[in-house]
Amino acid sequence: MNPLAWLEADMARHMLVEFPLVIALGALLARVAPSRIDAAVARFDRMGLTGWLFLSLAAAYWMIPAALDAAIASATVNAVKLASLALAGFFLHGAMRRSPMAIEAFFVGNFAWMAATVGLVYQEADTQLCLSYLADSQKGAGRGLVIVAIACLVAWYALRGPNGRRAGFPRLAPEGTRESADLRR
Amino acid sequence: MTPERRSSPFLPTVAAIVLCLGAAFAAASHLTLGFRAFTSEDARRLRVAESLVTLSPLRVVASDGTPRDLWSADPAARAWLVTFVYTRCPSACLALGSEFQQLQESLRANGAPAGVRLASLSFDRARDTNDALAGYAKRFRADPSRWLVAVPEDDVSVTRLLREAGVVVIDDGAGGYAHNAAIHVVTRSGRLVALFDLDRHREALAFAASLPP
Repeated sequence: MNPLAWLEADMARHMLVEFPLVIALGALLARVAPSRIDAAVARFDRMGLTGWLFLSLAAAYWMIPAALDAAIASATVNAVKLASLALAGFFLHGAMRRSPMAIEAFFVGNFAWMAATVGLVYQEADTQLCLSYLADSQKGAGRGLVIVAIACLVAWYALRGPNGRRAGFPRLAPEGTRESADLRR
Repeated sequence: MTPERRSSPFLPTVAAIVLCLGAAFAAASHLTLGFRAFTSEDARRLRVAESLVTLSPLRVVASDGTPRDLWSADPAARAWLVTFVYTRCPSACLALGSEFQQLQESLRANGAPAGVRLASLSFDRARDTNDALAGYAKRFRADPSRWLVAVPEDDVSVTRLLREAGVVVIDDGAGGYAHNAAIHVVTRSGRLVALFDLDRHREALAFAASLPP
């Protein structure tokens, strides 16, 4: 069995292991990509707004039960899923260097709220929401989503919140002096 | 720096945001049939209710080993009540079998609607041999003139049939299968016109009987 099929055989592994891995892979790609790509993206991503929005939308879409089923049923849809998540990670890498804390707080908080809500729905639903996953698998994914929601909030606050160490990514791009000037204005 | 950038440095970002929102809205609307169905089963039922689902002609092998062509080969059949089964199924399918048995009794009764046929189609080609199907037919006393117990003739047909009907069969983790079971009302032109939960078999029969010949 190929590793993707193994990951996708369980709903929690699919959503909570495969998705973050693919997003991380996208971010890693952005890290090694030539800086002129980010410079081109930056023009469309003031304050990281577009990058964070893209991630939020991709995450929301792939939490819809029908979308998970479609990804399992069709190799094309699955490819779109993987590409959209990798792209979200790619954009996030640049966005995190541009986004002010308030914008990050908005998107992280929004994601946590959404993931926790969906997680509760997955746990509470008395029917099987995905045709591709049994109710047990769905409950496991639901619990995992709530945990991930809380973990994201805590991790963001610790690493990038008001007292955070701004881990990993400087808030402004090296070539972003103009951005910083804009922000201060 | 171009003049328009100086005048509005956020313009490209706003454009990108609008594009992202528009694309996400379109994709979600497409997936959920206009935000009406967030699960595949709801979407399947909507599509069926809107008469958008047609099943391709299909050759099956009946429990007595004879080939049969669905859906139009039997001139007296105007509607099929179809369920998907595998004969080793321990619980749910037994309930289903007895419900079909009751339906068969209704079809035998005086004044019963003419032309309604029952079909239990297996998706487990590997295990549901003629003997297994014959055993299933015997267990539920299926009358071959009213109740067809059969398996599609090849794996390609099984896959196509399940895909067209929107049925997803998964491993239930206990040696069997789980699937979105329902009574499928299929016309002789292969149109899948209604889905009924298994416990609503009487309504399924009444609906099938109300279809034009």
